[in-house]
Amino acid sequence: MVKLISSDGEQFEVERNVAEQSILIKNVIADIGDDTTEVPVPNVASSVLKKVLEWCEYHKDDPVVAEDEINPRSRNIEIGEWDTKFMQVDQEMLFEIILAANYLDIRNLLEIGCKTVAGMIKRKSPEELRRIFNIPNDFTPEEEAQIRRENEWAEDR
Amino acid sequence: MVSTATIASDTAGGSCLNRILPPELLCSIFKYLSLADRHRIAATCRLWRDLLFSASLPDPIVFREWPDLTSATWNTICSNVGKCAHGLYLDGVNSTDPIMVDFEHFTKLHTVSARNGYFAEDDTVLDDLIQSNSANLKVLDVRGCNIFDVTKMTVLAHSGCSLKYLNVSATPSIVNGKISAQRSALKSGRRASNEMLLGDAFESVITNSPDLEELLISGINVPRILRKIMHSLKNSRSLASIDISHSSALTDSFILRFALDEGVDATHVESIMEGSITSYKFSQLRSLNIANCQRIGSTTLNLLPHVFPYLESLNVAQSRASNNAALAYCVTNLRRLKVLDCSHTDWLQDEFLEALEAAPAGPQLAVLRLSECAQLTCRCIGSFIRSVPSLSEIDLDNTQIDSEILEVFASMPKTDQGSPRLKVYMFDCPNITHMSVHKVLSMNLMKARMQSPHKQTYPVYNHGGLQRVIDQFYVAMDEGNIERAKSLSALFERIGMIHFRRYEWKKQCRQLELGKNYELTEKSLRVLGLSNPTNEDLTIFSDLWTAYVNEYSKSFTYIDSNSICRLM
Repeated sequence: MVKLISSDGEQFEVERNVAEQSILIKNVIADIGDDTTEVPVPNVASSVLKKVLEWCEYHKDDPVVAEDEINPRSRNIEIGEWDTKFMQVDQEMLFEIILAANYLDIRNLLEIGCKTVAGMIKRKSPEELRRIFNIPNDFTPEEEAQIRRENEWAEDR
Repeated sequence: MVSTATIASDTAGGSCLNRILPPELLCSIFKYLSLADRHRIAATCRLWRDLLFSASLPDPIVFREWPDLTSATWNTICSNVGKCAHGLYLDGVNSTDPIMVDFEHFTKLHTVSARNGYFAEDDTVLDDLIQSNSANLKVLDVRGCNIFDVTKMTVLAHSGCSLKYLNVSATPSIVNGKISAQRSALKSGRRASNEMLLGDAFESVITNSPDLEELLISGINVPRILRKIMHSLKNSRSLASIDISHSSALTDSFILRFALDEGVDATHVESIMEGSITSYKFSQLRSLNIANCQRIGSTTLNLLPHVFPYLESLNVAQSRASNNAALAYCVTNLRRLKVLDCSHTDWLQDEFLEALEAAPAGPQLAVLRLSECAQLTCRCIGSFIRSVPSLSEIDLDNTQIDSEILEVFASMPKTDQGSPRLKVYMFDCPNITHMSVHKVLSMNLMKARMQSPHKQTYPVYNHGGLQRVIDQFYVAMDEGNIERAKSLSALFERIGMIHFRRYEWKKQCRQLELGKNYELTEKSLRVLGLSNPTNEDLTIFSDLWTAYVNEYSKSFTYIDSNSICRLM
């Protein structure tokens, strides 16, 4: 078992193969050469860590896909049923999961998170996106008009 | 806990996505979007537009993903995007047949990039693109592209482009003055005239491009061409950055001749240093890259502050000058120097850093790269970091630093936002463990990541898998655990060799640059000079390649085809 400490001090005890889906934690454990030590995870709050570990627990027995079998150019943004459901969280949590997956270096979780957000972005207009993601419009009216003209062809797909 | 709330499509309030996710994660998201989606959402905000149209998007809009589209869509895209597209990226294109795409629609391009492109010998796509966009073309990047040769260079010279950026590094036909197979068949005496033509074309491009700011001709090996380029530099009023790295043609006497007219000898260097002779000053140059130019030494280092007095960035990585005093003289006299790269200089000693520290004005460096400088001691590096408050980034990959330095990092002052002001790289440092980094730094530095996602000021700590495999192999051998050693040796054979070859490669690096986007296919193997590769070759290469990209992409940009052949 490995003991992980979240940023707010909560302890999580999980099986080693669950924790080691995180390359970061795997490396730390390999360095100490002993899995009884506590591993601080100072960037991840307990609510997020709990969620991430839930994912790691479900996927702990997934076959390891070798790097060269993954097609990095795959545009397929479909994700599995369980993962789709897992990602049905509020936006804030979704981004926290992506940040945590990036920090902890859990490639598959990061990929699923990014695909989920890509799915939210697809077929949306710039106005909708600004509203959904609270992005201020920092173009001048002239610039916006120009970009619009240039991208007209992409509008109605 | 699984929240059952579905993804809200209308979240009023909350903070801006761009403040939550750093740009590199936004890019990871964008790469799953289609071309049409990318174009549409680019109108959301400036950051998105810049990310979506920058070449740094991990999977940029490049040619190779297009042929999957049906020809009807293809034509629509060409005619729709073409007339408004500002940039066309053909990076890594791999085509033995000429590209039969109608580029007449592309008339507004200001960026054409074909990095590491492998085109059919008789493909005229680049000529067409240059000619039809000559009025707008600002950026041309053909680094490592196989067909960029004297003909293209001449087209460029006569097209009246107002180039700002020209990258012809590592293009075999130019840097080695080679003549393509077709042309060489004509006459054996063509080589010299080919070099003349190239030299003239460069001169004309440099002289006639009043906006040219950056010129990259890494790997240039033909003295005749380099002389012409250096000569025409004096006609340029705009050039601010030049990359002549990996050149075997650049020598001390070249620089001396650039500083003074013909008929000078080494005794003049001292006179220049003393100030009794005034050298030519190329005062607009801000950035100079002479990494891995093995034939330049102390003379060049002593001359640089006089010839290029206002340099802000200098790269002397892999230098063989072996003269700590000369490098210290050079750096302390370049008063505006902000960025210094002395990676892979195994002769660099503490006295160099001490001399910088002791300089009257003190160094104003912001970025210092010392990776693989094995002689520097941890104590000296630590003291240097403490005494140079301007420093914002330091690269200590594969140096002898130990945990002591982590305390220095931890005690560094923070910015007003509470993020650390020093960005540190320490890949492959044998005396630093993940745990020590994690313990000492995580609480102090890692937190900054969340507070300031755009700054990326977190320390990078990764030993790299290669070193681990090799270490484990030795341990297994020492323990007499032959089975384990054998199982590791399979990996070791493939990736380990890179490790041992790296120094050799540094000396030989020529020929071919492979970008991160390069795909390993039968065709690219052919570029590397391997014919009829088997499936196993491809597997081995793919391993080599992954390892190379992961571990050494920072330190190496060149692979020599011969060394790869020897690896097989």
